[in-house]
Amino acid sequence: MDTIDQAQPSAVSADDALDIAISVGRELLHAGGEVHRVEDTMTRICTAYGAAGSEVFVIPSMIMADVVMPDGTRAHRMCRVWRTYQHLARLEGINALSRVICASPLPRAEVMDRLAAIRAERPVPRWLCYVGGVLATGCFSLFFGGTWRDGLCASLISLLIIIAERHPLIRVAVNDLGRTALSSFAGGILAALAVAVGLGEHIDMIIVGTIMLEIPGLSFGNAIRDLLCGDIMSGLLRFIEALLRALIMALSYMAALALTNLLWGGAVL
Amino acid sequence: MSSDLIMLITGVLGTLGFSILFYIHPRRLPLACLGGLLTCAVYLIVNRFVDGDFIPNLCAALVGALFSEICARVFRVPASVFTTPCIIPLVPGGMLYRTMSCAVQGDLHGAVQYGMTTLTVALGIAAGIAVGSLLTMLWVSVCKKQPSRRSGDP
Repeated sequence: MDTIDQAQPSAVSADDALDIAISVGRELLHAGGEVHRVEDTMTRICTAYGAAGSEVFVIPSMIMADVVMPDGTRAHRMCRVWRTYQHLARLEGINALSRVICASPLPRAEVMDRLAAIRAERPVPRWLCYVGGVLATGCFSLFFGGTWRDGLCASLISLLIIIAERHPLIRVAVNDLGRTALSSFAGGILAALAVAVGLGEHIDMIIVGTIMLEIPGLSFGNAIRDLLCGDIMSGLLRFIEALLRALIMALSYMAALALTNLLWGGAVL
Repeated sequence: MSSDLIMLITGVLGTLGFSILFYIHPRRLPLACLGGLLTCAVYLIVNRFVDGDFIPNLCAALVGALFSEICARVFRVPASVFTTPCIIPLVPGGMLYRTMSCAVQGDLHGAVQYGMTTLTVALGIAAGIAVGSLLTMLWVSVCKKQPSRRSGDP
């Protein structure tokens, strides 16, 4: 990145430098940044604040970092990160902030203020998220060979699921995998219902569309990319997480279809 | 041919939808959709001439990754802001689901078959992205050897 020529970082203590680096790194990881990007950004920030050396280790659920200042003071800290998701606009904002920090180190309070401002930003209005979900599932139902009626069913079902998932009751009370299980089960029931009512034509095509909301296909790809980049630990963790989530989805859909089969006596499938 | 056209159109619209779900900044939407179109088109073209799952996905992801790296350098944002939307049409979501659904039903043969396909596709995508960023890194380091061509860089 950019060279530092006007920096006067001597006033920053090891604790402050580490605090700033960890705050930025945590937000970056939170927003879906790659592991090596987080490690790289944190190392650069430590250097920008005048660290003589820094060691950073990141996996998707944890950050560990150690900083040594030229006067020999050290700081060591670890930081647990509970969940990561894709938030591309935030990724962009934090990256811009870290560029600013590396070019001319900001005071600690200002970095925290700017991070809070980035976190508060809502670049995509809520209704647009619903439109996005409807568009995505409907289109992928058609993409995999469904008819337009299947696509319509997938869209309607996904709209219901997204609205339910963003309800505070479910968002707070249920953890990530539990939410996946619930929405998959609901998706299976609703898909069977849509076919039974006569709106949808192929139940598997409706399901293929609606699963795209939850299926960890992207994290599966990211896991293998991490492995190829040499981040073996985080690659393995993401790999297992993706497999587990897909397994839970499959189980939930199977349970939903078995239940509807019982209720309607197998007329649906 | 017409099914290819449907896949192209729905692939791009699906990319648009998922980009919104991934909270992309609205000003990046047009380029994200262009990237989705690009990878989808490359996949369909290469798939026509080459058998198997690995090579078409590799080529499509590679083109998408190069496109993303260029956009990322131009707008000074992380490359994954563009790579993530670009590879959405390739993502083996349905395959992963079918693998697990076979496994749950006790169809071991089907599970292995779908599982291998899923793995191949994911490997192709990941390799394409890795090669793309590797090429960009090489290109950047070659450019930096020539002194002061972009010394006014902010």
